Amino acid sequence: MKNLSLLEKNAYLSIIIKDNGIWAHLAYTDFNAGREYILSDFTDLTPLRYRLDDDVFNRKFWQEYFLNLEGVFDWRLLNKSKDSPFISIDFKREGEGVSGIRMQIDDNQRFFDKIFASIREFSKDIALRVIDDLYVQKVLEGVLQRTEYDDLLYVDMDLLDFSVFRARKVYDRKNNGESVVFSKAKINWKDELSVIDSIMDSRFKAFLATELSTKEILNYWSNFVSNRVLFSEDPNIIDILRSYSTIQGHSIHRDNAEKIDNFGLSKGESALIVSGYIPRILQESKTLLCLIDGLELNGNFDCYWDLDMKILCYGRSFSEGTNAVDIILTRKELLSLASKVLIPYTNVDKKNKVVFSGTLESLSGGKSEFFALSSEFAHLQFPQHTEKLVVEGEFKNGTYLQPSNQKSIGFVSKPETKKYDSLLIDARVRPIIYGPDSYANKLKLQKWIK
Amino acid sequence: MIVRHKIFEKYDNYKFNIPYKSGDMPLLDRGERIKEGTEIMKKRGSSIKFSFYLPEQIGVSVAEIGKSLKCIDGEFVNEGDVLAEKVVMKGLNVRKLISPAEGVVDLSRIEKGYLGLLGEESEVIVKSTFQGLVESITPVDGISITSDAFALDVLAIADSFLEESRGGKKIVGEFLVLGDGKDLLLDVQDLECEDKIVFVGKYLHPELMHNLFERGASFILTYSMEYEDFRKQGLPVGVIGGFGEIYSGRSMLELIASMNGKFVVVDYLESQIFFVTSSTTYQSKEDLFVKSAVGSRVISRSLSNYGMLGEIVSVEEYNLFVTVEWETGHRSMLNIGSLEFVSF
Repeated sequence: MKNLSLLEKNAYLSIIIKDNGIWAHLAYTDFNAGREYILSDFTDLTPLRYRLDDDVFNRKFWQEYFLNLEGVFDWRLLNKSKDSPFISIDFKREGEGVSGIRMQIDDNQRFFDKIFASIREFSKDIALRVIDDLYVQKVLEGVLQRTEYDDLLYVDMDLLDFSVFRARKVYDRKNNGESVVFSKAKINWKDELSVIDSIMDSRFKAFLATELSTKEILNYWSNFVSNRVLFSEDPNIIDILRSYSTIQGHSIHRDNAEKIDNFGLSKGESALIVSGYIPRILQESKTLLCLIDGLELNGNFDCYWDLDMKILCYGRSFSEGTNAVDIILTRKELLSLASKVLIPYTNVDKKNKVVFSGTLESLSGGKSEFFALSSEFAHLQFPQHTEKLVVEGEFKNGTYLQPSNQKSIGFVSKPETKKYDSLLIDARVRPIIYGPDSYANKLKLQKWIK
Repeated sequence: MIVRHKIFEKYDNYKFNIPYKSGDMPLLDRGERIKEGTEIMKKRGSSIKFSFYLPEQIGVSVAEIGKSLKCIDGEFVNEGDVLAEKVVMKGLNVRKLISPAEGVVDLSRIEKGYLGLLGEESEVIVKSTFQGLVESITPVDGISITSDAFALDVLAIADSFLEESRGGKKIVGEFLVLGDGKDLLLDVQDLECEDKIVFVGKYLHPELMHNLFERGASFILTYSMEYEDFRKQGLPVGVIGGFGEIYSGRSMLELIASMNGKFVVVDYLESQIFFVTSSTTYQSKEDLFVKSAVGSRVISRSLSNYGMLGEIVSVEEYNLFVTVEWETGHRSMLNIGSLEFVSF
């Protein structure tokens, strides 16, 4: 296949079908004009979950889908010159046509074959691909090669499937060079009823902080799991989901400790990429709490949120750089917004002792100070910034970052390439102990997250 | 984009089978067009005179029923005969189930915990409530028919039957609505529900469930019930709305209740109930994809008013929040992600 020219304008549509949802990302690039963006849309297929293998999920469905997608993106995708509109793979200009369409279906998606067949029936111009472990491996290995990171941990948190993938650079003595080691660990539940019943496990109560009766918990949780809402702020549901997710992470860690060990503790830079349904409900702080406690993470790493599957969609295009055959994308649209996570070693259990003191400095915002207290899980949001923001700080009172006993830290948030929107300092004394009951957990969580 | 959940989805040329037993006689021919009122088969059988739920009667678990039985399937028993017994208190006491009348023992539902006592044999002519075409008639598959149907999604079907569903288990029969389908019922008297698929309305109480199964119901459909009860029992029960004491949309219950008397197929594998009817009353005119939120019918999935049915009257803040007017008349503002868009 011929390589794309950097000088030409291009638009490409990549669609992912995963976890009963359709994520569509239309990427447009015009490097001459300095324009590069991705238009995104999400369609929840939960209302059709029992019908994905039926007559209703057919050619007509995809026709309606693309017609509506045209409206959402304000971008012409279909050729309507005939009675029945068909997909047009012909990029003309910004807002009209795309040079290609790729649809990727997760191999865990229910009724995979039927969905695959319905798309094939709709159009032969759409490139169909499967998202399996090998695909995720290629994406991660590619991202690893194209970024500053030496260690990548991709966590996909769905209700029925909880997966952890890791790609890291290691020194290969045999070849006297660098090689990439890939590992994975997964938990898959058979169906929704198994997920609902899983909270009857005694370990679940050890993490729970809500004080509802078992009957109420089961009713709340079963309604939540059965309907898969896209938003919930009910504290009981959030707490049940947090406990459930922590157990998933903990189970993975218990059975695959060697695959997660030393993440965030290596000399090189590490990044965690979080994806899936659960983080969309739990949101950043609670998701990080689940992952740090469940996977027993430590050290220093960046966290990226791939909640709309952009990295999964275009990760390979990005890693192929100018050799890409679909679209040339830079890091800006895929890996530009991160949270910095610092999990130091500390033995300061006393309340309200400063364990980290730092400053934020930017040209227009000036200099401001911030600090983190002992025994707290402090998630600090940085102010909105359009220019570089310099973050510097020092751990205090015997607190330091492992493995090199690092006491000071500094990094720069660059809006155009790698912007940090928050800093998480988890200054709780290890090991983290939950329980013995939900009331105790409630008090602990109140102490940790303020 | 938002996809609308069509409560009743129309299926053209839906194919289903009506099974028949060795004593039954199909009255149709292959290729025959069926109209409403067409005689389908002559069914021979005995009505259930009495039905006993053994776990309740003698305190035996469903798994151990076999050991406690003192009769065999098809045996004629007299009044006063022991049907089942369980030794309790380390042999100091025996719990017995005594036959209240003479009849023939029916153990066809024993794996669900029910022992039946059949009355006299009779013949019944089963008539069609739908239009269709007979595809084939074989003793293995039964009468195979194609007809138009409307499918209703079932949120969850009781687990022990899901195991059987791996082979594509289906239950067919007449749809029977208790009361008007809206009120909460705890008990039913003098109800003929043998081999019927019974819709109990907004909430299923365990007592009512056992009462209906004792009367021979083949499947119970409810809008809601407690999750613990749902998982504990193991009988063929389907839940449409959710678990716990939740709101149930009045107009939705009315719509389901309007299917009273229709022929239905409960498909375990698809988790759907198919109402075999050509009626156009249930066909929603709305598109699958939501074009405009305002005016759309929604069901709340927020825990504060879970299950409540309403209509969006306005869209607020960056299309994230909407104001909904609920069936009860009051309005509230919710995040659009906590709503399910429906049409019927």
